[in-house]
Amino acid sequence: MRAPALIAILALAGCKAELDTHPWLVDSPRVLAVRSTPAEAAPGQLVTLEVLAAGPGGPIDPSGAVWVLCLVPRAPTDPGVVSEACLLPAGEGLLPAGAGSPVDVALPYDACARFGSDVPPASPGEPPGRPADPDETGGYYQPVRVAVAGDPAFALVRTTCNLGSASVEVAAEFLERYHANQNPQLLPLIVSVGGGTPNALGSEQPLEVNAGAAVHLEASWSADSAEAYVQYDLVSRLIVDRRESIRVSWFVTAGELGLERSGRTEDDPATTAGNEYTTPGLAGAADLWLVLRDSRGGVAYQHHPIAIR
Amino acid sequence: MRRLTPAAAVLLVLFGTRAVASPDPDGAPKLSRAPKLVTFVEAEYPPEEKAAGVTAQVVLSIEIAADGTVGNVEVVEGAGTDFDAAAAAAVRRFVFEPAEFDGRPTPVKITFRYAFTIKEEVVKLAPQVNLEGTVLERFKKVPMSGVTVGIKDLDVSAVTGADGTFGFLDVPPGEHEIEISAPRLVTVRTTETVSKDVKKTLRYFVEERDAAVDEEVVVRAARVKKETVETRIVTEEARRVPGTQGDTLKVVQNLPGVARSSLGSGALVVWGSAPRDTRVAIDGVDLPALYHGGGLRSTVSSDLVRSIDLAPGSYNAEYGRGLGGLVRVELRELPPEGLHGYAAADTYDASAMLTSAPSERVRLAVAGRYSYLDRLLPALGQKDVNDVVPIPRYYDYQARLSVVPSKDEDLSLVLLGSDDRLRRTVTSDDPSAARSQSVASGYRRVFLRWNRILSDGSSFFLVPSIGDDFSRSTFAYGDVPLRLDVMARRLGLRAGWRRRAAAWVTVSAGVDAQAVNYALTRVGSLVFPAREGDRVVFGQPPAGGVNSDHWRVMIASAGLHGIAELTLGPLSVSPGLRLEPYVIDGDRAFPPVGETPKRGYTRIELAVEPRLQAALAMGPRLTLTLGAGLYHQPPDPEDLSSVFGNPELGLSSAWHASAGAAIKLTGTLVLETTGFYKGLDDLVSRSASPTPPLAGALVHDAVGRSYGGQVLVRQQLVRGFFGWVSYSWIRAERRDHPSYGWRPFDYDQTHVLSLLGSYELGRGWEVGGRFRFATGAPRTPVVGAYYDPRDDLYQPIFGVHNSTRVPPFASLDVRVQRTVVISRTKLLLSLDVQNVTNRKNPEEVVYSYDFRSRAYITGLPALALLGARLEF
Repeated sequence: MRAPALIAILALAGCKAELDTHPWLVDSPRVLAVRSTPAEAAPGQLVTLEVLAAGPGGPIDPSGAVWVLCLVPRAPTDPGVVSEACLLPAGEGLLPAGAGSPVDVALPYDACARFGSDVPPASPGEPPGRPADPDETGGYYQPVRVAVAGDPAFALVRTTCNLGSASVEVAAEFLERYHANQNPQLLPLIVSVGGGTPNALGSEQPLEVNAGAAVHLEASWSADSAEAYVQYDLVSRLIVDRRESIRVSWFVTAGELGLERSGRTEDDPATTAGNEYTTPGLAGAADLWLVLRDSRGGVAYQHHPIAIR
Repeated sequence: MRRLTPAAAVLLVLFGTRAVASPDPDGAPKLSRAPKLVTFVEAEYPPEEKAAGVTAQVVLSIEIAADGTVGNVEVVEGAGTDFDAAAAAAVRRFVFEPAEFDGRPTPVKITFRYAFTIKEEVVKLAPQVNLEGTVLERFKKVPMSGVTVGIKDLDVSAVTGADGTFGFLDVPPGEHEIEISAPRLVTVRTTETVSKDVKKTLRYFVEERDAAVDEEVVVRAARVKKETVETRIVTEEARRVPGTQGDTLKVVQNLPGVARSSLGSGALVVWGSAPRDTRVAIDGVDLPALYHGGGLRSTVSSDLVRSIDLAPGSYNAEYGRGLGGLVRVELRELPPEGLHGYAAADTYDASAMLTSAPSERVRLAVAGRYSYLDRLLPALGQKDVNDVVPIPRYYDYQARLSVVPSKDEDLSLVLLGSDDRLRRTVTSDDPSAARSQSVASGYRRVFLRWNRILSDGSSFFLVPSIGDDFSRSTFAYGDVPLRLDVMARRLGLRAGWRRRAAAWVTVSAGVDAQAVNYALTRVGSLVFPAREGDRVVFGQPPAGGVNSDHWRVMIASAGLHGIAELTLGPLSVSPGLRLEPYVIDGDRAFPPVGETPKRGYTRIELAVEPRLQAALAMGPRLTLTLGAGLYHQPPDPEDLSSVFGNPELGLSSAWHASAGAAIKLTGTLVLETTGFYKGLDDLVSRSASPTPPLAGALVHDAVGRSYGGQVLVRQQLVRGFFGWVSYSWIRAERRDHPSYGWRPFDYDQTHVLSLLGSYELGRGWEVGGRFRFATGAPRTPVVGAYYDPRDDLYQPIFGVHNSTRVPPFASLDVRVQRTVVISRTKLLLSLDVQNVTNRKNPEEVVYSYDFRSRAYITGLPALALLGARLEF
């Protein structure tokens, strides 16, 4: 029986598709992150949106960014995270929201009826509409399109809405205990070259390393970045306590990263996440970005120019 | 009694005598006694001359020695080489009383005329068996004991013995009506001609009859086809089909009209219908799954199965609740005596079965299977294989108790069970990239089947059943929970009565009732799992929010049906009608809000389903067929969620029409061709509204159609060979909403070709091969992407729905089997090699993170599966 089993092993291993892509490699202009400040806002509230864009040559000036508010909810037939109507250049439900970065955008007053827990307005004689479903953290999001480099991106601004289906008591408890999300805070990047002494680099501080060097990178964040929050549990229909998970996305313009993302689950209290970076074999310049995201949509990021000797 | 004998009459003529010894010239000895033949040997009549009725005489010169033996023999006057040789050979063995000269034995030479004649001889004997024979099982060719063979016009019968033989004494010459019958056999009626003074020896091949009804009149064991479009495969053939690893039920995937199921799915897509639209029934009882997860193996032991019928559409009124095809599995009769069984193992699993007949009227069987592939592969070093191809851990079990209270009735109590488990986890440094999946599913069934032939010649059956199905699926994409649990408890009752009302009409009526109580829990995304019409990319995490629901649904229906089978000369017409009221009862019409009490609902819908089947025999070799019918299907209970679906969903409907021809090219080679059209209405699709109404995420907006044709050229098992070529051209399309255009059905496969054959080489060796070709499944191309900064993921922008396809699939499989018989046990060793050409068949499209490049997940390269099976 052993021989056929071994053959089966080889066969099954052959099913994997090989795609030679590196999500961490910035080899064309692209958006790396969009940050809303505050990270969560109520309908009608003003938020400041900033876009982080980059290309093979380094950071891209976001001043040419064009912002559009999309007011069309996502239909059940729509793939992706926004309505396909939001992808159109212009049309009903698309509102220009400014240019440049940062830009201040006011969340629509009816954002919770379009994208949140409020019952959508119905035409006379029509049955009430179906509210949107929250994400896994209980949040609702207003989409804002930004075009600056490469493919369009959609900022999803966390919008504070009521609890749609909870009892009065539960809703009251939620209102009392819930705190809107805050953006996390990145601490200086810890860099260790070839197992040597770690150095801390603040944002925009350059990293100088030899060609072909093995560099250990350690992102760290403040202890309150992974916030505790309450969520309405849709199964038990009670308020439950949760804590944000943290993810760090890594990007470079040259060299090789071990991971595209690293992070900590909500059960893991650690405040660091590492990665391994092998610098290019030739001297030159490169760029490193790390984007910190909490699970409720908060964002922080850093950029480090790299000088390769 | 008079009989023709081939004996030749002999004429002995002594033309003259002459002393061989030298006579004394002075006193020549005188012949005192002529030689006398005392031992005559009959010459062998040359067969061809005898058959031609040719008679002859041969004149020979014979030297007779002094002791009376024959010496030299010469042909003096011949009648042909054959006659001369035969006569000389016989004469040499003659013995004489020697000639005597003067009282002394003396050698002499005589002339002898040997006559070859055919004459009628009258012999009166005691009563003789002049009609005898053996009854054998059609496929296994084993003797069938206890079978009644009757001569209807003489009102005499005999029962076959343990060796399957029977005999009749002194059957008068002439034509007689013979009937071969047994409670569990297809009744065979035929005529035999008995000639005067000639014993006739016969062999009858019989098969077990369909459990659903009695077979009233079948000529020479040819089955009455229940459907105008139906392909039947018996276990003995199916087990030898390459690529099925000896699994009988997997052969369904090779039949015409069936799309190739993708790697690891085992989904049955018949005539362009969704997998869930095709019903599977075992002895009339619904089964939720024909195959274990991934389609690796069927959920019922092949050794309990007698045959599999696939009716891809236009089936009669006995069955309903499905828009697609019908797979009927029939259990076989258990051996009438002794202890039998098997034990088998291969790369996938191990299985065993034991049957026993404690008495003449009671038979028992138990069978089971347990898989180990999921542990075998990691133990041999392939720890991440489950990440690529889900390999379930499964087991199944069956038990059957058969009782034959009388000649005209039988009872069976059957237990069936199946269980599948799948668990896999992909860890990651990225919390959002960690994946886990846990799936458990299975079913249990207990049913009693009672068949009885009544005194007036009618028959009826009753099948009460009880069972449960379960499916628990939990997925986790990072922090996103996804869960779907379905528990179903079902009660069923199927009963039918059938009677031949006149020579030209047979009527049947019955009820097919079922009540299923579902309890469902779902947590997760509205759009996961994906459904027909969704545009998705393989492996992409579900987008959108999450929600939760727990609901109960009861769906009950009673299908009352009647069929009249009219035989009008060469035309057979079977109009039928099925009336099926449905009751759909749910506990939640709207999503829960706060402390608002639940509000349930109850709906009653009536399905009226006329069915028609017709066949016109255009001669002994050509039959034209026609079939049509209306079909309904209740909503999927998963779709009746007030949160994720729509509790208002009702019945979907379909109409089928087919026309075909069956041409009997030889006694065992048949060509069948069928064209069909299916129209589907009131199908369920997702609401296209950005703001669907509350409890209205799904709507009845979709329609569908499928049309095409299929050809099957099939050689039944003869001289150790069987095989078939099947080709289907099918176009299946859907329109999700009235304002949308038609698009290819997600499972559409335009061309499906299967060629397979198996041959017994002798000495226990069998070889077989299978070639399959199938058009790739439709996929919606990704024409762009946008970035989702919240999730750090690119999202696809799709092009025209299902406008591209995965490249075609082609595979050649080979099976070699060796059977070794040792005393009363049989050892079978088999080697199945799948995809022997090692072709890299694309199975699915995958994209890079930003959708700028794509590649294919390929199917199994050359894969050898070794199996061993010991039967006793």
